[in-house]
Amino acid sequence: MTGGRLIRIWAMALKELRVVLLDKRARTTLVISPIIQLLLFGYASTLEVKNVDIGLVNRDSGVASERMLAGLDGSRNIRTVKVYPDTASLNDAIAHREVIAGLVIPPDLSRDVAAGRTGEIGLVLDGRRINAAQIVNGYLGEIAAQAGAQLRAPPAAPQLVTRNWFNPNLEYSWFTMPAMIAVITAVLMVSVSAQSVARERELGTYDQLMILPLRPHEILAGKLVPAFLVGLVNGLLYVAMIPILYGVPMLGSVGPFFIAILVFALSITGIGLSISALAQSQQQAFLSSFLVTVPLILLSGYASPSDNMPGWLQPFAEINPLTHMLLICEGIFVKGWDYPIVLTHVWPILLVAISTITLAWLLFRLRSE
Amino acid sequence: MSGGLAKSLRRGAAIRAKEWAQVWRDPSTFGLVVVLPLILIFLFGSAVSLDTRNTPVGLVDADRSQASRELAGAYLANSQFRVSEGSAVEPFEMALHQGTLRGFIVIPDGFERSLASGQPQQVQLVTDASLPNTAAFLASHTRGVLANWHEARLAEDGNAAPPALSLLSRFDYNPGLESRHMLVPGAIAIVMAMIGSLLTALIMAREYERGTMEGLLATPLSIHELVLNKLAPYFLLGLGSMLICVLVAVWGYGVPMRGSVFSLVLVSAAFLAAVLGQGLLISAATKNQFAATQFALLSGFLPSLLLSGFLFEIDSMPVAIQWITYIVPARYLIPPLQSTFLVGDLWRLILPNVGILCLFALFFYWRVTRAIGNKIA
Repeated sequence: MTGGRLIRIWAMALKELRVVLLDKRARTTLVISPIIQLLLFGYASTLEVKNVDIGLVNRDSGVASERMLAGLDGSRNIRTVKVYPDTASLNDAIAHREVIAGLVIPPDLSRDVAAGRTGEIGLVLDGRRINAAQIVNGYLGEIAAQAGAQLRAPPAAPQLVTRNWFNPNLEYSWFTMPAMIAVITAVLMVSVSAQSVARERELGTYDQLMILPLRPHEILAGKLVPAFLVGLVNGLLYVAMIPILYGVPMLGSVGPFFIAILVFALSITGIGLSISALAQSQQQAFLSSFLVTVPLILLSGYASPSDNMPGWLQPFAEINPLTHMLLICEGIFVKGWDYPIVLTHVWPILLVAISTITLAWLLFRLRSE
Repeated sequence: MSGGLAKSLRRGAAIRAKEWAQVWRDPSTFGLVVVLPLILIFLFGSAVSLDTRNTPVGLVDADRSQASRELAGAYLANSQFRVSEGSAVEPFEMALHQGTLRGFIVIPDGFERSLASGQPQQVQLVTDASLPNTAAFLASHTRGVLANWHEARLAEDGNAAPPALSLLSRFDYNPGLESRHMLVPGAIAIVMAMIGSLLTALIMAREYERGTMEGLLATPLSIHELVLNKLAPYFLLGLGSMLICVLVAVWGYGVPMRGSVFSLVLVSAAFLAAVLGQGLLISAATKNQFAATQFALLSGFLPSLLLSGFLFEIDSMPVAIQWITYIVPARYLIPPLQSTFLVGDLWRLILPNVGILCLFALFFYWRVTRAIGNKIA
């Protein structure tokens, strides 16, 4: 009895795998597209701000402005300093994005410094690019402080010494790359599983499926397999690629990661199958899966740390399987997490997996009758 | 001649009516055009926040002197982070490893004496740099609080020594440093890219997949009539969706709208023309709905998000990636769109970008009509 059931599920799974893997274009997109995404994401997502162009209006010819200019020349983040005759043309250059910021050095800067006062340099920044502008503001503040210290030695002050654990050089890719494993596999699994039932319905083969000697949960189990495997294979592939391509250390072991991604794949495939059971056409399935995936990603802590989401959104972040998978990936890569901590994040995903698969099964049974 | 034109118009109207009927019949189109913009604007407006106000940070005062209590007080009272004090570093180290704490500050034993001797000890900060952005913000704010506290202390003792140089920073167009003012134009770009490339890729691929494309080609429609009239409804949907975004952004989230509606529509229309062409080309090339969606995501959605300069600065990317950004239409949308919201109508910025988008549209149109035309011959 159980043997027969297993054979039926196996036959169903085999048929589903053939559907996904037989189409040459679909096959290429399943293999090529995740790899291109990994490469593009990895190299494009940098929050460093380099090669900055700065504008300058200099009305001071004394030693203070000289020191400041030398500091600008010495900065490795600043590409060029463009000189403008007056503030009007500087503001115009900022508006038209020729420079991201402009310094306005007043005529009496050196005199103020010589008199023991603080010489104040004006700085105008492009608030449209508020993130980059704040970082540039930090660079220039640092340069001004150093130039000022050369002009007049400041009194001894307590310094801050920072130790950055898990990522000593604050490499942004050490954060993005492990996060990508969770994000890309989630997107892939939702789009593959959301299509599965919807395609049959659109092509009219759904009715044939219904007359086969298969119970709804057996069909469901078969439908689960391709998306599940796609997520699993891609996830493991990334774990192998990321340390080689981007030099991100993998301090933990593959064992806990494997358990986590198994459960994660189940939870996400459950979401995709639920969408698929409801959708009337492939278009509906795809657009709905997009409407679901985008909030999942943006509420996972990938785009911004979940600490700072409004309180009433926190529960959503808490039941989002991506939030936990993201933490697990980061933890296993750079923190060397082992089973005990990983499992504290696996069980919430497991609860989600049980609920989404049950939901998919209920919807599927409902639509079969 | 005029009879030919009238016929052409009638044929066009028939195709448009067919497309509209398909749009109305499918609730998922409504989802994409109305619900997606609302979700995106809401998420970028409310959920994605670059604030750090609730970031949990620990503090250990190993000195327990008057000076160290004052400094600890400055950290506990700060509004940038949520600081909680502990008596030993070990629990904080554990919490950092488990991910429940983002960093902790240690004021060393003997801190007050070292201040009095003129050779102040270093204050320590340990961060969880697995979130490099938060770690960097944390370091710079911790340093700022320390410097301010020390300056105020010197001033109290009558030893104030003002720094030689300081910057007076002013953030034009966005003085409140609101990240949502930057994110909303990006959300609009994503929504239009989705409607343009994804929806059109799906609808044409479906005609091929179901075999109805040949039926369309067998009608007396010319290729130009077919393509233009098939696109018209989606062009209007895209503009409608853009307007929904703008209304919610301006009235719901208080994003300023300093440019004119005309320039907004001009820029959006040029962008839509380009991405609709892109979507058509994808569908003509793939002829399969699943492959079309994957390809549209890869060449439409992701580049609009990552390579357009909306989230990441293009100048900071590796040179090879910078070259790729030149063929991403959204790259030419983001600067004029952000300026129209926050600055005004900067025609010197808008017109070149609109021109490039029109070239994209023409190129895609030429490729599409050729791709479909070849099938007939």
